[in-house]
Amino acid sequence: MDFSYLKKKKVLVVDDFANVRRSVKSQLIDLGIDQVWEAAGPDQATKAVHETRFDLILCDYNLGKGRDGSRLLEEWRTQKVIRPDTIFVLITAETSRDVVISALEFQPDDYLAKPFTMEVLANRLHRWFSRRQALLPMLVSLEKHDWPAVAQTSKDIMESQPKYRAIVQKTYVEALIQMNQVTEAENFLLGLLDKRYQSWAQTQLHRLDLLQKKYEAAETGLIEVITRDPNMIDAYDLLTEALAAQDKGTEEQEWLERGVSRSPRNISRQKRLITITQTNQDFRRANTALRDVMNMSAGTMHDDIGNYLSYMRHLQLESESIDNEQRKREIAKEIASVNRKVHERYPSDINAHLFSLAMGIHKSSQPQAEKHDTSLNKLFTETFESIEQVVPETALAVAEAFYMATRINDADSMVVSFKKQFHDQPDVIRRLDELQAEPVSMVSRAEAKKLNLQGIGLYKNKEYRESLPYFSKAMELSPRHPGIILNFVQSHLLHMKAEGVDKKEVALCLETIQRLDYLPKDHYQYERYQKLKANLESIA
Amino acid sequence: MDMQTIMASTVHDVKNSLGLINDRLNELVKNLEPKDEDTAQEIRRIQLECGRINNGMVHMLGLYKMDQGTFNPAIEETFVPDVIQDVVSRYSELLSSMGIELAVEYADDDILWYMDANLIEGLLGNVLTNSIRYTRTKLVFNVQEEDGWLNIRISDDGEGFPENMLNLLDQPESVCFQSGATGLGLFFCQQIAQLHREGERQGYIRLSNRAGADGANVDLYLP
Repeated sequence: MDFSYLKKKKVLVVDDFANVRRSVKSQLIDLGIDQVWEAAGPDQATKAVHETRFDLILCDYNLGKGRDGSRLLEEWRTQKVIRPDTIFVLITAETSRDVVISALEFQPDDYLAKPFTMEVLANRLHRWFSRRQALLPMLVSLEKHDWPAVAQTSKDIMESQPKYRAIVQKTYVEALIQMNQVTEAENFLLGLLDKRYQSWAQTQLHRLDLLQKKYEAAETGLIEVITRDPNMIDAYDLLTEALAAQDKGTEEQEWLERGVSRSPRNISRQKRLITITQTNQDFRRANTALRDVMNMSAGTMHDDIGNYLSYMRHLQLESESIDNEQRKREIAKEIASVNRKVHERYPSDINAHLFSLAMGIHKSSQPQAEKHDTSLNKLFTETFESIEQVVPETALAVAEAFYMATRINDADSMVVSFKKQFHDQPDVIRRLDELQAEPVSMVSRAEAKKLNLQGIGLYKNKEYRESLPYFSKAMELSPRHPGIILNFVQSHLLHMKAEGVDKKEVALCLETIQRLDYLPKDHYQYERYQKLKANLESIA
Repeated sequence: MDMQTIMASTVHDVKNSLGLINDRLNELVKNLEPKDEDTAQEIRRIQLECGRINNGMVHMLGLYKMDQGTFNPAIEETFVPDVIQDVVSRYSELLSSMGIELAVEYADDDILWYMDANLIEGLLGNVLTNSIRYTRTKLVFNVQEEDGWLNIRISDDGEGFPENMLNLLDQPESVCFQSGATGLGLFFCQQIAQLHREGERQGYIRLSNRAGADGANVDLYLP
């Protein structure tokens, strides 16, 4: 092999053991690489990649305390500190796939088991650089997200250099999907699967189902994929998407749990698990995941004060939803300890302060009215003074405190400001909308939802009169929920259509629908609200 | 703690120690060569045994997981020469120091095949550690496609397998302790091969001796 091309390559070696770094470095130098940098840990390594554009990074997975190698890769790729044509190789002590599955999730270009001989390194170096050379046109288009070019270049490579087929096929499918060429992608995948079953191809095929809203097909197919290959981590993610689309919250949580236990170090997936456990009101599980995320995130790009606040908020919710005194005491202790941590880590962060205030108000269930009002006024002013620094968790806690204190107008005006502030975070907007629609406890929300669904069942059978008590009971629990209110009104209208208009009934409906005056124009129920309101006014 | 975690941690620790021993021995060899070639050679043999302990640990964990149904291959289309090179480069230093010649022959050197590359690399490494012990002067890899199967053959120029070894893989209860060699390594390799399935076909290993008693063949067939 001719290694002269290696001379100008820049290589970074990351390992927490000096003797390992030295030995790898001397191997590289013996192979003709002159420019070798060393880094002993995450911070040094990050500094190095900011300063120098490396051709190759050899990074140990286990870097001692703090961020590991795959976390660094995740960070650098997300923040685009390293370019897609930088070769990133993870060095692991393990070769078993089960062990490295977590490590491989952020897709290093390769991984190499320790210890390795000079021959092994030489062989791999040659492989990495030849591959990079061959894939370069594709990588360049990939960085620009120029999908037509990605499709074209990957197609060219598949034909001219079949040895890279296995890698390039995946990128090709991705490009087709990004360009929304579903039929082409499907035909291509079916062609591959016709030759041989491959989990990744089958998974992508079901991703297409998902895109075409064939949720049931996706669900069945993906469960089959996972049964055959439980390490196919992408399949878990797509499966939970399919389940979410079908409102199968319990199953969604169950499969997310399995995905998380296969690959526990993926923080984004843990965060999705948190969201679904919250919806399912499984606060206990949510809190375990929140604690894991809080601990795992420390010192990484995922570290932010929101993790701590969210954890405290949900501990509080769990405490409110249970009767077990011992657990309640545990929770109180845990909240106190997290609160201390927040103030230690973020001593001057306004969020820590506002959040504590909001939690304090929230907790005092029998407030002395005057003191209560003073604290609320203080919270109101201070929140608006530093609204730009407010993180979503604080926003939700503050708004909730006002709703709970039944200062609805103040709460609504806060929600409007927060929605402006977080306009580019649809998930936060959704949670604010939910809070505004149902400023009641999680338990009441769940109860109201159940009643609403029962009402809808009767409504669908055209049993309008029978559905009404369900909707009104639901409204008692959750008085501002647009869906419930509009169902109530719509059922009345259809009832009157059959039985004749009743002035009292119309008046009741008009009074009820007024509760939705707060509904913003961009709300998905707004049109329906306008229509029903007009209907009512026409018969009033 | 469950059994699998206990075994995995034990294997992990033992492998780490073996790695350290191996590193130390490498340094010793470096210092000895070329003054004391005989001692260096002796140390190479010890290193080979380290490699066998290592394999043994991997087999134990692997077989346990297979038994529990938690051993999952990841079959993907793979560039076969990459796998062969990975094995060869892992052993080339040792081979050359022992004066054993190694050749790789491809019928088609652009061949791609469906396999769990990681497992097959382990399997071939395993076979190689054994063959090194029994060969005289050389080892040859032959890679070819044969009637829709991938065939990788490793042949040596040793004395060939004894009769009872040849049939070892055909008997389900073949793993025994009487002969000294338990055959566990081969049994494991056979299991790995069998994890490679396509329709009715599944991978397998075949042992044979070449005519004229001039060596043994280990054939791996993958569908």
